[in-house]
Amino acid sequence: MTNTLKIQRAIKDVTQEQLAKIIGVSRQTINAIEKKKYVPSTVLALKLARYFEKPVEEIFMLEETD
Amino acid sequence: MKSQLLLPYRYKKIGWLLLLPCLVLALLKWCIINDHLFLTYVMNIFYVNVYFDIVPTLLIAGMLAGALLVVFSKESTEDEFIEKLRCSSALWAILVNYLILFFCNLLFYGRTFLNIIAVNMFTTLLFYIIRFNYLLIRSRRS
Repeated sequence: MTNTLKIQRAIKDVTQEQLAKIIGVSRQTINAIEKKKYVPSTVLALKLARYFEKPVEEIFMLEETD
Repeated sequence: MKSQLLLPYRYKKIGWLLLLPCLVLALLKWCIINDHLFLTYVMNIFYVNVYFDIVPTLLIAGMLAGALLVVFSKESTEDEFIEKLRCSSALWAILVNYLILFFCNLLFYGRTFLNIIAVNMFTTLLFYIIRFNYLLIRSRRS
């Protein structure tokens, strides 16, 4: 699974630290998601989508290999 | 995901304060002092009217309690990614611990093996602590 979290973050102009605080997770989690090292739970994905006011599919999308 | 097993973050500091001094004292006692001066009558199940050295018992209790507090207390921000790191470190620690024990069993005999088993009592927790903190630090660096 890939994601556009870094781009979404740039559009909204928030740092990893700020986003982590708003969503209520650690900065490591945001960092790991952006680096594609961690696939977030559905709850976290929905929370991120709600914050960016976009459908989940615009932030997280499946890859060929999934 | 909320884990029911974890204690609040402040217990982590208490754990470290208990673990580190006990670990140092136990290593000193084991490697350098290695005598049995403080013979006391202790409550035990198998022997009657036998005196044992209470110091190792207390040090082991301190180390185990400290290590358990460190392992089973939350990080300052505990979330699902940290939970994942916990699970993977626990598996890693169990695997490494038992692989080492497996080969030690084949390679060492007698008193040496008994010493290894004594150390092995703590290594699962210690490997877990080392691995978990390593993964945390690595994921903090970006």
